[in-house]
Amino acid sequence: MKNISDSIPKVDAHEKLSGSAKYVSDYMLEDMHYAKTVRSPHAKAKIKAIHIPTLKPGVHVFGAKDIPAKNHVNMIFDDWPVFAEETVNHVGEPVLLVVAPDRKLLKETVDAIQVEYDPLTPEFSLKAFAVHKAFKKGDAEKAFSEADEIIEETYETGYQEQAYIEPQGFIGTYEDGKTTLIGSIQCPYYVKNALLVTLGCAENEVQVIQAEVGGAFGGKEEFPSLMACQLAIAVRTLKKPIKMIYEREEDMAVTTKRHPSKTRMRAAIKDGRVQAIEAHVSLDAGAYTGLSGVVLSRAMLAVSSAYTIPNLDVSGHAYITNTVPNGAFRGFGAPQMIFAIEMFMHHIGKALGDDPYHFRRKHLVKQGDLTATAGIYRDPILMDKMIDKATAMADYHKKVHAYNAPDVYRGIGMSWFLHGCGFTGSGEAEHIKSKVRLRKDEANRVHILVAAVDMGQGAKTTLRKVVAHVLKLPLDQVIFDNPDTDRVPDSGPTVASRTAMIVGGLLARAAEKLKTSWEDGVAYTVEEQYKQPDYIKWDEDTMQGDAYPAYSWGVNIVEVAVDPVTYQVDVIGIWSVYDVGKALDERIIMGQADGGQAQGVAYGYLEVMAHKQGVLQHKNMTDYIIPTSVDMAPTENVVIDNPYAFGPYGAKGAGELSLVGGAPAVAQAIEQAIGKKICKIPATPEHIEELMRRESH
Amino acid sequence: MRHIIPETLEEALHVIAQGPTIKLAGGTDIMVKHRASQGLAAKLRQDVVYLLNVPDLHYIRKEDNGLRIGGMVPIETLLHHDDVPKILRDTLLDFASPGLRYVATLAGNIANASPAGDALVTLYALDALVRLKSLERTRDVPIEAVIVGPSQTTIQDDELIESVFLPDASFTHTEWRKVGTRRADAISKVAFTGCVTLDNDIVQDIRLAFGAVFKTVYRNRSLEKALIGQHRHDVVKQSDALCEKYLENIAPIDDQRSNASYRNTVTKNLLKAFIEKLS
Ligand SMILES: Cc1cc2nc3c(=O)[nH]c(=O)nc-3n(C[C@H](O)[C@H](O)[C@H](O)COP(=O)(O)OP(=O)(O)OC[C@H]3O[C@@H](n4cnc5c(N)ncnc54)[C@H](O)[C@@H]3O)c2cc1C
Repeated sequence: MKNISDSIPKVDAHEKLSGSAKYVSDYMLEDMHYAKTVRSPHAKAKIKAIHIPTLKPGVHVFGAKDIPAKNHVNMIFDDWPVFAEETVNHVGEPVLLVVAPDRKLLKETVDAIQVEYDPLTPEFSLKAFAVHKAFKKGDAEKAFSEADEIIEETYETGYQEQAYIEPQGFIGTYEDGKTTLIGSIQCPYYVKNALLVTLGCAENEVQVIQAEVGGAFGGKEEFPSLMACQLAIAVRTLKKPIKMIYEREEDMAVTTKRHPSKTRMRAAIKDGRVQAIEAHVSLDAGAYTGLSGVVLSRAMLAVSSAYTIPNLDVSGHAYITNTVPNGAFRGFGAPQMIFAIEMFMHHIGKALGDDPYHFRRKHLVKQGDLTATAGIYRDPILMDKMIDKATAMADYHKKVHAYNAPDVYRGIGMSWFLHGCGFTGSGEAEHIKSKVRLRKDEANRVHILVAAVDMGQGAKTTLRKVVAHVLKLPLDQVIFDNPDTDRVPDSGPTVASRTAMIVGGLLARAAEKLKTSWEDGVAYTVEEQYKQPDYIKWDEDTMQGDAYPAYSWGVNIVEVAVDPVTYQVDVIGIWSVYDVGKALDERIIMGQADGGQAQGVAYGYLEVMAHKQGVLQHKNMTDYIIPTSVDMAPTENVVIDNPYAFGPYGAKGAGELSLVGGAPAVAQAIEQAIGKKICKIPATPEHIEELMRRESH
Repeated sequence: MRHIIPETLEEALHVIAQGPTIKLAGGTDIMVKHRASQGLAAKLRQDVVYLLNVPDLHYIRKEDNGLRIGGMVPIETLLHHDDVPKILRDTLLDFASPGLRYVATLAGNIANASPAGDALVTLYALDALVRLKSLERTRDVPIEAVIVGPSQTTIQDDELIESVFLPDASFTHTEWRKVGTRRADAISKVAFTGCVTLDNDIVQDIRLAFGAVFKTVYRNRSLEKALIGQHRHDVVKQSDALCEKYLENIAPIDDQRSNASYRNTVTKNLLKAFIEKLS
């Protein structure tokens, strides 16, 4: 049988390239209305009065008072209102939703509505926290008291915008008592569950269907639930199809972004080794907590990344500020922490006068070591081999030596990292309880029934391949239509690098079941549900045990040239080696590698977003700079096999891994090129200019 | 509001003579500026005159003492035309992206009068003369007298940019540097054009133009003049002092793309690097 890793054309390539793929804005329904949000211009204010002008026929306005049940978006933290009620807490917070039969009338009505506010004093600094978490490993206190030396640094990271090609959008329809929402989403059941809570209706009164998704990167994990709840209220009342598509500016101004962070790290050094690290990470959650607590967990769990540090004292806060809520974004807290720890280990190595490379390598994780939370790295770790491979590909050792010479303005940086696959802790077993089905029809075609979304990452191709391979069926006998909550069970959200490993693993098991029971020409369905491997133990309260069932690993090397006249950074080359267990399709993994690296490296040196008094200054794709093909360097990526027992054909998570190490690799390269320490990203030309100026004075 | 597509220059001049209109060339500034919200037509509140395809404005012609470029020649065409001075082609290669360059024009860049207009920096350095034409008159105006501030020009409602004239000049050394927010499809944070002519090590001609650090492109003829007639080594010796003089005069701003400090430093570095090449 063929190797599953052998690439096939992506199953959705043709419809996307030919333009036949149907995105939510392509839906045109009879008597379709349009919706637009009235938003707060204030970062914090009391709503004094709302003045709605006489509405033209067909125009309607909805707000907090129209919510049938709960005025919050169902998430882990229930502090995020569907519509602001008494106060607004960030610029752009939704106050009302206007629906009109045409867009001109819609715009005119939105502009004519007057909301009176009493401005309050907003908070932009990290003062009030909504979430606090902490865990320890070993005895950090003792290690600090016995240390030869203590080294301390603080690392900062900025916002990052997902910049998916397709802005957020939904269309809602109503038929026979059922409200259906078709949207650009990652998590059909998150949306459905949010609707049930806000509408207070029965299961069968709402249905959620995924339209083709033009990119998501985490940005369509929790935010769509907010839009869906608002729209559903209007759809159920008016019983008409209503469309709400954000414009780029609206999308960038009000949707979730990557949390800005500040991480203080202290290390206790003895005998040339890091004996303990004390780390405190602060995340800016924005106005509402949302998923920030889980993002904080993942950040904290990545504290020692690919190193084994015997003693740890880790804590974190997610702070509430009067800014747009931050949320899920590929990497989910890990990029912030991996930037901090990779720079810190490098900086410690330098401070100790050791070669940072050798210093770091001394601390590298080995199979059987204890994780940050005293779980066990049970599976083989191939990092030694991967580092050797990557350094050889990049000619790292020669370059790192050559670029130490003054005035060459070149640098090469390297990051080592892991990414926990699937939900943190007991999330998979206790919260998600993923369920998948395979339905076989009379024509012996097999239908994949899962809630997993293909947002460009290739889930449709890889999941079909898995099922087809197990059943030894041609690919076109295996059908995978976009999820519809009336048709598919809840196999969980399409997040956390879990789809191939967890959903794919369940599908492989279901396919085995189907294979054993196969009856030609008979229609029936098989089901599988997630069971945690017994050896996985996790205590949510103390954050102790196995935080993840498996880890994917990676090495990134980035080479740059910095222009000494303009401080512009030219990325010259990127070399990477990844262990994702087993590639379910080589080309798809290479796509993830190239895309993730571009996004991760750009996070480190290019992508800038900032707010002034709660107003984001980077309002569109002219202001918010993501790399073009001209900015990206040639890449050389290698994937090595290290099959994981519970993944389909050994596959582990691959979606986030390629992003999380980009920033420290490019930052280290820039650091070498300019001979100045970098503790803050993005390391823009403006930041480099500041570093150069500071020292030359 | 009417959409008017003139077929000749003559016809276009008649249309614009009747009152204020929107003169649309490639539309790459206009359509952005007048964008309406989703699904609604652009907010064009005056008659729109489509100039891009007026054949009379599509020529590149050698004249006595210089090159004349029709106002509606797309940037991409200039990029591949041998008669276009190298320094201008170097500049245009950094302009937007290929797709944009097929419709964007020099006339549009001039009339848009952005301090960050890339072509403008080099047009200033080349002493470009802008030919403004109305039914009544034709005037050849130096580019710095056409552009007076951000989005402000001295072009009258009844006038259009018929062509741009580049007086002949040959330089010993030229340099174009665009410092954008990224390497393609980016707005300049700082831009620089330097041209110098040496004869027996003596500066015969020097032109230094800066983009995005002042309300218009910045060029200081008296500072340039002071360098003419000097030995190149003497000019190099003054590079720091010269940089200081430029920094006193430019007025860069903080915005979402960059900040004044960076723009000052980079302006200085670019100038210094250019001058030091004379050593
Ligand atoms: C994605 C993108 C990238 C860009 N990148 C760059 C860049 O790298 N560098 C840069 O400098 N600019 C850039 N621009 C801006 C723009 O493309 C340029 O300013 C271009 O030169 C405008 O030319 P146009 O023909 O499209 O002008 P239009 O948009 O048609 O017109 C611009 C202005 O000129 C006036 N006008 C046009 N023709 C005439 C005429 N014959 N007589 C009198 N007035 C006239 C119009 O009325 C209008 O005020 C970019 C724009 C976009 C959308």
